[in-house]
Formats: sequence, structure tokens, C-alpha cells
Amino acid sequence: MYESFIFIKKKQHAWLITSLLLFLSQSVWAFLEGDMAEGKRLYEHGIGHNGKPVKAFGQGGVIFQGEDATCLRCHRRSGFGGSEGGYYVPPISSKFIYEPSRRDRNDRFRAAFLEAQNIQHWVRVRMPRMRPAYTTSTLANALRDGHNPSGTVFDQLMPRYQLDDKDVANLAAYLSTLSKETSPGVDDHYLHIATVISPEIDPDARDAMLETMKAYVNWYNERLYSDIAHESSARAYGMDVRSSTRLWRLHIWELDNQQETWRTQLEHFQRKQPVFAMVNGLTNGSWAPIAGFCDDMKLPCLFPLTELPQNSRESGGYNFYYTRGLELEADILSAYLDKMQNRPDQFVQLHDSSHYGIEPASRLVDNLTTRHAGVKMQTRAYANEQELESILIDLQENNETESGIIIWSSPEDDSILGVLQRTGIKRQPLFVPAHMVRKLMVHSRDDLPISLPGNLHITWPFSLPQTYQADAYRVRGWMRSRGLSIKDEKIQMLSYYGMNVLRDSTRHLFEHFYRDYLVERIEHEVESSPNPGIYPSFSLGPEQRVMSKGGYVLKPDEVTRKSLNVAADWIVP
Amino acid sequence: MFLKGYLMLKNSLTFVGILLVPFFVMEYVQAGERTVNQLEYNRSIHFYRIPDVRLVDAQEREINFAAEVEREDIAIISFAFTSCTGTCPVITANLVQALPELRKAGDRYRIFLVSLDPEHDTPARLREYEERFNTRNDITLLTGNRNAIHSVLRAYNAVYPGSNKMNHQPLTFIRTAKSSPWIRLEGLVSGSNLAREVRTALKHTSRTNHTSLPSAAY
Repeated sequence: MYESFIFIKKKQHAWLITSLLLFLSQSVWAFLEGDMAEGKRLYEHGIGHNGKPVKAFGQGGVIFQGEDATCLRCHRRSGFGGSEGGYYVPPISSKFIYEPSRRDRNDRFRAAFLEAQNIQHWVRVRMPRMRPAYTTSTLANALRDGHNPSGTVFDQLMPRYQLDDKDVANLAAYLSTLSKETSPGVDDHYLHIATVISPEIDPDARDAMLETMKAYVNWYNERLYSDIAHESSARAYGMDVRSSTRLWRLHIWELDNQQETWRTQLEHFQRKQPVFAMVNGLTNGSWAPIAGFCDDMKLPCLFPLTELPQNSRESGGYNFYYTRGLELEADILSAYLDKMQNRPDQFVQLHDSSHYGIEPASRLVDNLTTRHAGVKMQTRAYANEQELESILIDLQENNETESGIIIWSSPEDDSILGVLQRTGIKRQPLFVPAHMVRKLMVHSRDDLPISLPGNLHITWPFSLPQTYQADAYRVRGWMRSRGLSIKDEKIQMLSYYGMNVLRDSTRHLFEHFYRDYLVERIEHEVESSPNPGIYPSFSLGPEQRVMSKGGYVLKPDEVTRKSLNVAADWIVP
Repeated sequence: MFLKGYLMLKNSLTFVGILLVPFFVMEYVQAGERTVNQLEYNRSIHFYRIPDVRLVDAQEREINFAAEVEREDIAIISFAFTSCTGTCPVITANLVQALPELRKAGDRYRIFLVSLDPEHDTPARLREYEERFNTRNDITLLTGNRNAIHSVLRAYNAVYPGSNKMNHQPLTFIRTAKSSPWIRLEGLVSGSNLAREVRTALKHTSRTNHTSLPSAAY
């Protein structure tokens, strides 16, 4: 037996050995080159190469298909995963799955130390789960059978997929490109951020925003210098992750009067010095051109101080907003009118010729058409203060006492309250947006400098005046210690908040400077960052882009007319 | 000639067998070493005071939460939000999966899925969610104002850590008789496990005639 074994002729048995090797390596040769575009479609939409939704089995055999079975739902667009509901979703971007797992605590620093998760999550994050780099073959096993190349079985949250070899190869091709190149706007020393200013902005508002932002950048960089100089200090734990720290550099992108060329101007700025994110920003008119630029460039754009955010974009994209602006106020007003006691049967809606006038007026007409078919609405544009005054006098003289009067105007127009006082309309209910009154208040706690008409109704998407907000004291203290006087509380507080969310979000990135990952971190962080109180609360979720979703309706105090009372509690239209 | 062929085949098979031994050993060892770390859910028994708050369902009807929960003997409550991408679809799908088993109890049950993101989850969004998971007739989706939702969370000791709903835990609460305490399940509970929990609790309830506290482990 032994002898015969020794004398086996290689030539005679070559086919057997070849067959054996082929058998053992079957899983390797079975996977051909995948198609990246089809892999992306599978990752983001759960559609297989045959155009049909893919199928996966979740906990207890629950079937998920198509959009409910996408990788994107848990691992997110960046592939960096995250933490939700006490479950840790590990990163699957190219630098993670095609490299052996490494015991680098920085990769899990956020999940391990910076999140208020439960004990189950903490235990999971601290499991080393060492494994070799994935191959297409082991990726297939992971997707179909739910275990990594070392044999560790995945958590029950990860479904088991029914994918054929071509789908696996396509997905592997896409994963090999996912978050591979660091996003523009970051170099070895600096993280570049920008803010946008357009002409015709009130100089005080402009100074309020820019001074706060500059003070924040100085403070941030000084702290970083201090940490570097005192690495052994306990406070400077950030120096353990020195490779991920960057000084901030703020770029102020000043646009000119020609709104139709804003896009070209922004592209020029971005070419000259790419930035990683855009923060705050003040423009005259609609934010839509800038929002379009941010979406096309995949540039996260945090919290512009605008009354006219991009329309019809509440989810997805790269622009985050405090509220839906005047569109929200029109929706609050229509919800208020729905339940208003002694509601007039007809309304006269007056608006100026700016977007601030036209857009909410048009929104309100649409709302009333669909919700209050019985309410008559007459909408008229006015050219200037004198025309508005004469229309209002006509309304009084024609005894149209039963009509409610709604006025929409540009925030730059300071004349409306004066006109209302001069015309002395007392019987008809008046409805105006918050900006007409808000700008009279340097501090939200102060009484108003003028008496308001008693029949005025103000849609109010902010916190109530005189509301106690603990975090506001912290921010005011920060400003005092930086030598910043409070000139415009709203703009300064919100400018601070925008910078603070950027700091909290980038802190979680470590050296993974990818814009999609930043977007996901912002979605996660806004509820945890201290809210300076201009709005009552902030909330986002995956793909949500508007943080505050409702508002009050206020009326002047009946006695003093210089403070505001609640006419309708928080309405989420 | 025949003998030579026989020997050759025998030798070949032996050779292949020897080569395959390490392969099977490796597979066996690997499989044996696989860590099965599927997380079981935790169960515990509690008395909760159902909060007397007004919430809104997907059809924009305002309801009194306590009254609705008290309407039937069997009540199941869980929490989710419609834009949640990770655990909430699984929580919802598990509730749906448990329905055939629960229907065996007749129409004596109510299932409530309360939104953790009430301002985003308007009734219109809840209706979309109902369609997505086909829950309309069986699971009552609820939203409301922030304070009312927070009252429910506080009442069931379900307030998420760090004041951030993204840190919420999967929680399911079961009560099988109006006088019974609540069974609190922490973690993702599959449909079959949920149905089993209800079944076991029902048996216990009928045995003890609703008067004693069920044991945490049955």
C-alpha cells in the first residue's frame, strides 16, 4: 500500500489533484468581476442585477425585501454604520472590510466613549472580533449565512440575504469603492469650513454672525494648541487621537448682487479652496441656489439663517435647516385658522413682491383651498408702504369688518407694524409672521419697545419669550468670556449652535473625514448638543433635514401690549 | 489490467482522502469555535401606572391612552419611529409576525406602537408606515405632543439615554389581564417569542385567576 502510494505517477493523477484544487477553490473562481453601479443599486435600493428586489431573512425568519433590505438602512450611505437602539452597526466601507480588523480604539472611540448607550452596546463595542480581510467569497458567506471570515456569527439585526454570485460580486465591487477617498476640504493641518454672505444683509446681523463664528474658531483652535502643549493633561485626552485633530480655518464666501450667478461664484470659491462643510450663512432671498450647490457638490450645509429654505426638501440631501421658514408659518396659520374661535369667513391676504411675500401667501392659498373650502381668500400684492396703507384704509372704509387681514413681507421691511398702527385697524383680526416682531427683541426676555395692536396674531416658530433655557446661560457665559456683547441674540445663539454641532459631529469622525459620514453624525448629534433655546427643541433622524417642526400663535398682552401671550399652544402642522 | 486499474483507483481515493482530512478538520474546528453571540432579550415583571394622556392615531383621531389600553385584557406596547432605519423596522416586523398567533386569542388584544419622534411622525407619516408594514387593522400607531409621549415613556421607564432618541432600546410590554402586571421585554423579540410570551402569560393568568404576581421566569 505504502509502496504503491509512493509510486503514484504524477502524470496519471494530475487530473485528480487539479479537480480537488478546483473543488476547494470553487468559491473563489465562482465570483467574476462585479459591476459597481449595480452594486450601488443593491446597496442603496435593494435591487438585484435582475432588476428584482432582493430578499433577506431577519430575526425569527421575518422577510425583508427591496427598500427594507438595503445595506444603506443600517450601514448608511457612508458605510460607517452607527449605533441605534443599543445595537452597534460596524463599518463596512472599503478600508474596513478589505483590511484585516485592527484593534484601533480610535475606530470605535465614538461608539465606546461618546454615546449614552446601554450596557449591551458597550459590551458589543468592546468585543475585538478579530478577522482577516474579506474576500468576495467570505463576503458571500457573511451575507448569506451571517458569519465573518473567522466564523463569528453576526447579531440578529443583520439579515441573512438570498443573493446569487453575481449580486455578491456587484456588491463587493461597490464596497471596494465605498468611502475610499477622503472628502475635499481637509488637509494634514486644517479642516476648512465656509459661510456664505450675500449683499444687502443688515450689517448688524452680518457682524453678529461673523463675530460669533470667528470667536468660535479662535476658541476651538486655541484649545487645540493648548492640548498639544499639555499632552499629559487629563483634559487633553484628545491627544490620544492626535492624528484626527485638525485646526479649523473659516472662509467667508461673499456673493455679489447677481443672484443668477451665485452658483458660478460658489463653484469658484470651492475650486479655490475646497471646504469640508458650510455652516450658518445669511442671504437675501431664497436659499435654494445655495442649497442646490451643496446638494450637487455633496457638501454638508448646516443651518443657514434663512426664512426661505429650499422648498419641498424635508428629507435627504446635504442641507440642514432649523425650520421650514415662512412655509412652516403659513402651515401653522392654516392649522390655527382650522380651530380658531370666531374665525372670519373671509380673508384678505396682502404680500409684497419679494419671495418672502409671494411664497408663504401662495402656500396659504393652497392650504386653505384643500382644507377650508368654505373660507374665501382674496390675495393682493402691494408695491410699497404707501400702497399697503391705502389698501388697509380702503378695507376699513368699505366696512369689510368681517375680513381677517394677513400680511407677508420681507424681513428687511420695518414699516409694517408702523402702518398697522397708523391705520388703526381694530376690529379685523390681523395675522403677521414672527420676523416682524422678533427683530424688535434684542433679548427674547425683553418687553417690546412699541405697543402692538391688540387684534394682532403672530405665528411664532420659536421658544416662548421669557422661557427659561439652561443652556442659553451657558452660551451667554461663553460669549461674555470671549468679549462678545449680545447685539442680536437670535443670530448669535444660532451661529454658536451651528459651530457647536459641527464640532460635536466632526469629533466623532476621528480621521474618517467623509462628508456623508458627517451628515450621518449631524443627524445623530443635534439632540445631544446643548440647545441655546431660540427654538424649544431639536430633533432629527436618518434622512431628516428640518430640526424644529412646529410653532405657537401669540397675541399681545391685553393690558401692556408690549409682551406676548399664547393664543395657540405648539402646533405641528 | 483489472487489478492495476483497481489499485490505481484505490490509491487515488486514498490520496484524495488524505488531502481532504485537514480540510474537514479545519471546517469542523472553525464551526465549533464560532461564537454564537445572538443576544437574548431580558424579561422582567413590573407594575406601571398607565398615563392618562391624549394621543393621536394614524387616522387623526384623538384617543385617551389609558382608556384605550384598558379596553382589552391583552395589551402589547412598543416604541419606534418611522425614520428609524435599524431596529424599528425589525420591532414592527416582529409585531406583525406575531399577529397570526395572537389572533387565536380572538379579538381580545390591542397592540400599540408609540412614536418616539412625535413631531416628525405626523398622522400622515404613520399612515405611510402602516401601509409599508401592512399593520392597519391590527396595530394602533400613536403620536401626539412631546409632553404626552414623554409621559408614556416615563410611565413605562422607557426614557432613552442621553435625551437622544437614537439611543432608544427595543422594548416590548405585555399585559394579559387588566389586573395583571406588565411583562417587560428588553431587546429584539422575534414574533414567535412574542407569541410564546403572550401564550405563557395567558396560561399563568388563567391559572392564578389574575390575583398573584407571575414569576419572572415562569
